[in-house]
Amino acid sequence: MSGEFRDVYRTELTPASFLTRSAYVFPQKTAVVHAERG
Amino acid sequence: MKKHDRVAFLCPNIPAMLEAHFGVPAAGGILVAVNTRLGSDEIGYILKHSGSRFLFVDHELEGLVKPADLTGVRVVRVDDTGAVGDPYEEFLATGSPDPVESWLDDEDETISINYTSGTTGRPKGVMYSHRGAWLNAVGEVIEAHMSFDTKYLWALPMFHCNGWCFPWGVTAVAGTHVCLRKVESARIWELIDKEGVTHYSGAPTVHIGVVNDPKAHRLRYPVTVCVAGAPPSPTLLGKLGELGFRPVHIYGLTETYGPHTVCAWHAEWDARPLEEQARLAARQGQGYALFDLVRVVDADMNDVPKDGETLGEVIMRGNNVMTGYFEQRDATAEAFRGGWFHSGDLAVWHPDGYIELRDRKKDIIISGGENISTIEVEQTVAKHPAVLECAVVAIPDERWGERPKAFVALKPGTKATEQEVIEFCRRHIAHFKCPAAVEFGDLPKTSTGKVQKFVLREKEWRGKEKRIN
Repeated sequence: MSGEFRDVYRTELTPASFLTRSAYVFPQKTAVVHAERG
Repeated sequence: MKKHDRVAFLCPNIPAMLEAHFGVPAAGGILVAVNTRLGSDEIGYILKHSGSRFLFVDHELEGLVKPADLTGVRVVRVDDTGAVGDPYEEFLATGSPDPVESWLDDEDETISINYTSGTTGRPKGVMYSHRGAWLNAVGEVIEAHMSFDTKYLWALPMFHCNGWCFPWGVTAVAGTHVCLRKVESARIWELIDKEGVTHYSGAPTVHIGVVNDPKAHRLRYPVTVCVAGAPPSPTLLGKLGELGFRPVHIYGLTETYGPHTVCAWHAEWDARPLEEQARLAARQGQGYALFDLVRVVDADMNDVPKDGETLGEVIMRGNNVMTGYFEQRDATAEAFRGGWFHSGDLAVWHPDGYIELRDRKKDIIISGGENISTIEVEQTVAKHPAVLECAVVAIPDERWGERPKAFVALKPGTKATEQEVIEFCRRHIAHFKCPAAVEFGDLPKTSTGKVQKFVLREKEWRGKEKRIN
């Protein structure tokens, strides 16, 4: 895929981006609980 | 650290391990999550073969890497305290808080390498791409019905296929990860009751432990459990349902990012008798909504008839297949021959398009020229009320070539004799498929709860030149 406007309609997929988005949208929500540490 | 440097993690399901699934790729690295139940020799081999430049090792597992040659590897201990003084936390503190610029140029780049347990020969490094991992993670969200309210309990080791991509999937919907160092059935019940866990995944043996635990009780709210890693028996799926679990039966291999197919439920099955429902649900189904459908083929790669009887090999292709074995071109070409990934799993294809596994290619029993599915025999033995779990392997037989033998673990406080189990099977399946012998005791298992049939087989075939008759 190539083209003049490629940057507009294409983002390389990576699951690492899920964290960026969730942290941005839900900064107060609990992401991880450590069952032993409490 | 340079782009695409391999970064190994040897940790249980702790927050650091979860962080690795984001931190390592975000820094341009490739995550190598190592199975914590391997021996020092195997761990040393994986570190060397992958060319890992960093190793993050949990404080309880440090002894495992002591004998390995760690030349050129920077080792960081993880104390799992999350506090100042933990070498892992100190390491993180030395990093720059600024975002990394353009660390990903192409989604086909490798995000992780997962070494297969390999029952024969050295383990192979299965490469996952960023794109494939993204798709599998979203696939898990869809098939496991996850959302904002999800509390996902880490019962499945994260070192196994990157936890079937759930570290990414749960995070995609901003769910909560519940980490724990050690998985026990009683602990799972505690965390369901106290933490409000809504989802977890595991091999059938994990679920067998849960439904038979003294703490087992009917759930106050539904808990979705993904079952894979080995075919679950209809008996197990039925019991999970009785307690209020929603079992999602999925199937795949390390080479397919973990799960690839799901036994998607049909509303009209609700009206069928319970035993038939459990039997329908014990099939492996078809490709996830996001993936390509799988085929069952003969030796020439022609589709077998969809008759629910003819045996063939399951093959897959498309976005959910690994990009190859790391630095093993020949092994990759062999697995990808004919333009499809060959799973090595034998299945039948049902008229409704669903597949049902019958065996690993190497496990199938050939007795007097007839194929015997070890899975079918195991599922029959599992129906016996005293049986906790069971594994069936071929044993050599002068007359028939091979005969099935059942290894059986009984539920605590129950009794059964060899003859009783054999008689029980004869009432349910063709006589030639029934075990010729039954041995009672614990079953040898891999770290992910798969029964090590090759261990049982080796024991029975000791002194023979070959392992097939």
